Amino acid sequence: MRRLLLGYAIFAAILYAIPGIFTRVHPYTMSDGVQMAILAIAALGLIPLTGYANQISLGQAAFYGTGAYASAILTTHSGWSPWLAMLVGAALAGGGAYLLGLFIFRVSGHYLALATIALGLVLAIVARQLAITGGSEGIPGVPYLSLFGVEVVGDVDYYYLTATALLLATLVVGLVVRSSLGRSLTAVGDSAFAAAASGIDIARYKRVAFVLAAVLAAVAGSLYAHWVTYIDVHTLDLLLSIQMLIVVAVGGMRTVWGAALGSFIVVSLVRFSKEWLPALSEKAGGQVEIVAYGTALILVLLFLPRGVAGGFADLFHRLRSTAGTAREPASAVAAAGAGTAEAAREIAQAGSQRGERP
Amino acid sequence: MTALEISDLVMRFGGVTAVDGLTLRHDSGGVIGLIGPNGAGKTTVLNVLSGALRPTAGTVTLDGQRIDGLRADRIARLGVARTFQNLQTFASLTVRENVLVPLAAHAAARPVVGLFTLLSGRDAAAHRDRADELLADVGLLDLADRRAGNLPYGLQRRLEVARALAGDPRLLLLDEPLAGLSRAESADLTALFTDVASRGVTVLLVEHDVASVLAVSRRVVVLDHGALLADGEPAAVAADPAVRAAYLGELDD
Repeated sequence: MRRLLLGYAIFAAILYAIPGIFTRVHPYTMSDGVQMAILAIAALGLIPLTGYANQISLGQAAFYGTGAYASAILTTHSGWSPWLAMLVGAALAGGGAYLLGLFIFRVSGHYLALATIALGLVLAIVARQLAITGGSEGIPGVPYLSLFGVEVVGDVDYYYLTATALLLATLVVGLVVRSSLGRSLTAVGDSAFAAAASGIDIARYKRVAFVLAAVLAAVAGSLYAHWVTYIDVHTLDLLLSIQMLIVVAVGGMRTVWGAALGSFIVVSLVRFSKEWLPALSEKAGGQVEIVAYGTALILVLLFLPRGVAGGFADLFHRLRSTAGTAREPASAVAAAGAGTAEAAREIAQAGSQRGERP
Repeated sequence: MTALEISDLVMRFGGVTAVDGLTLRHDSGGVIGLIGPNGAGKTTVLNVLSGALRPTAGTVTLDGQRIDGLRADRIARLGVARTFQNLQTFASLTVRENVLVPLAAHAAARPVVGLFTLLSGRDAAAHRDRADELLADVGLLDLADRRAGNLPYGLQRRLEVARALAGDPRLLLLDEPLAGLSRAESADLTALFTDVASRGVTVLLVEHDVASVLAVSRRVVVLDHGALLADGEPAAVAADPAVRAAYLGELDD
């Protein structure tokens, strides 16, 4: 517990130190900071859903867009308070995810990926057609968020707002994955057969994780709408869903810090390639940027299959187990319980294998 | 004593009939050995009983309640637990957490209250004590904080048994729990099975090690090509010429 609190303290310190760095260090801008925070919130729900329960969703943008459109429509058309609109957007996304989950999770396999792609495509088509969503023009004039009667306008102020939201969201997801719900999700991801045989209603747990992911994405979409004050169908784009998966894959799916770390890396990559590639070659436009970004991604996934955070964790374990190798087999022998020497040898072997794992 | 009743059970996969009209009644508890040559349909029977498969035809009742066709997790919560022939531990959880999963699942089955229990960890202390008790029973308590996936094979088998017992089953299905174990480990585990059975749990034991099955079972059922070949007391079954023929002399080992 103390280690966890320490983790959050360090995380908060880093989050709140970023404005001091990004306003001084080239080529970062505070707009990158806001983007990182929003993208991290949007991707955060994929940690329990994909990282723990092993379910791939390509529909995060559908829920992100739902939040963005709910905010935009309810504030511009109906004059609602942005906060209330955000709440409604989150409820809509959560309700939608729940309903979809009722059907998808009854069957096993990767239907979720397909169904969520379809959901995003359908919503994008609908948003392009309807008058209330502004067709392909989108919705301009979305109001800023107000906090204690003051509009949050500048990027620095908005960063503090979104960073605080990210901190809270990370705390919520952290509590979920550490609870017995998170343990059960891990069980489902590790062996669905054994989880069911242990009495776990697999579909229900996947649904809970899916709803959580949808709600967080909707809040992120809403935060985005009130930041840029203009939204269009790009908030529903499949590429955005893919980007969110990339964020957790790069950052690390089995740790709550993965979303923040991943979004820092992804947004930085975009920023750096935009900044420096044109300097290398005059012809290098947006296309080369995507290539550079893709190459970096492949390298991370090749060499750090558990993401950057997972890579750190492995390194830490390796350092610790080299420091304590002498103790491990001894405790294992004592631990063999019924106590055959054979079992103890096996454990010792397994222990050393773990230590040597790359 | 738990009454298990299997009636005219049929399980077909496309053109292959894995279980062919199996009927079996048992209401006296103890360990039932289920043996038969490879492909006889033993694991399929366990898969149907535990709800991993929905039978093509026939019924299964547990203490008079029909369980065939129910979802696997419902069957589990009605008191049927199992282990797996191919290890299915929750590899990324710790040993203790593996046992906590069924404990929490059985406590959290009710929709709203369940979610609250899950998030609050209200029963955490009681569950932990119970988990440690079960781990002590299989000799894994000292490894409780190890990652299950890092345990050697034999210990993962024991962990599956502890996990299965966590649901306080009425019917325990064991799919080759002794495979790959040393003689000493086998003896430990079979002693545990007898102990569990003496507490009123009906144990259905599928096992290749026929000698162990004959030693530990009160009743032995032999399947061949999905149908009942022999059924009775261990000694009688071992002496049955049809069984000896099906096993081509394996019983002499």
